[in-house]
Amino acid sequence: MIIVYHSARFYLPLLACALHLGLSYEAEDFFRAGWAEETGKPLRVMGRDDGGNIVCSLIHGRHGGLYKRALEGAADVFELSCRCIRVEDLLTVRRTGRNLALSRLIACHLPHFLGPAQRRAIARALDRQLKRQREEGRP
Amino acid sequence: MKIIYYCFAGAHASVVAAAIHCGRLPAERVPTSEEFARLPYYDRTPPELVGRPYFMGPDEFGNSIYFIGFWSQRRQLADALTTFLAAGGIPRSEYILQDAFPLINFSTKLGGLLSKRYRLTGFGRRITIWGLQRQYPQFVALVTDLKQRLASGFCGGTAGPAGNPGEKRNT
Repeated sequence: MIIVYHSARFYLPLLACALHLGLSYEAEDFFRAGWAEETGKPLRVMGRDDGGNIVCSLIHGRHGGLYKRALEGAADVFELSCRCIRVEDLLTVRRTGRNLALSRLIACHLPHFLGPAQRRAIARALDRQLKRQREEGRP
Repeated sequence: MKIIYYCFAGAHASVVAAAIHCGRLPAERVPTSEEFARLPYYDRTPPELVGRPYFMGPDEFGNSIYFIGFWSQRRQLADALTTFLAAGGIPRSEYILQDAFPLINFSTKLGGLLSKRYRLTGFGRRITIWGLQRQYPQFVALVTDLKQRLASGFCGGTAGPAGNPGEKRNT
């Protein structure tokens, strides 16, 4: 399966991929190098996880729906197994499956204003959600 | 092999190119307005579904022909799709991504805008057809060139903007 973590903001998919693959995101260069590589290429293959899934990051700006439809459509056409995960949704979804508007707004926009200071907090929250997903049997 | 024509909204240029490729539009003459209007999906792709590939039909070689709209993200999305398919183990010899957008002229763009954004569907559609009829030989040339490349064993991948010397190329 191809797992695509996508977001409008560049560091969220990179962070999600790093957490999924167990890579270190602590070094300052991680995001800087990631950003430099992403500027021309919206989709980047980050690696392969323990289950053999290919993990990709996608930065789409304000065209999230377009990229999602195109990738899922291409997966259908070429009979590939694909899962697109919007990182903001992953951050804010509750155990009940509900997605609170306020927490989504914070996840989407607050890191943009606070900058890298909140990266660890976001990483912790994202890590919790990824672990929960794995417990629930999702890749 | 799968051949995917792409343009801005996946409603005019890519639909016409895909239809010529499948033989749904004639290559030896300019089609009438009714023939354009009868095409499945012509000027009918809903904006909220742009990005989804649509199947037009098979060609005479058994290739599957699709069309898709990429909005203003043509270069980036073509690159993303190539990376995505490579990650999925699909070799470049199994598909061709062909840009059809540079072939459309001002009247088709204006007609598309009137039809899609301002909901003047009837009037806008007529202008798009008028523009496409004037540009039709270039569409036929694009498809013929692609078919010749297929016949000569072209190995697929992403094809750049098609040739139209008089047209300004949009990126």
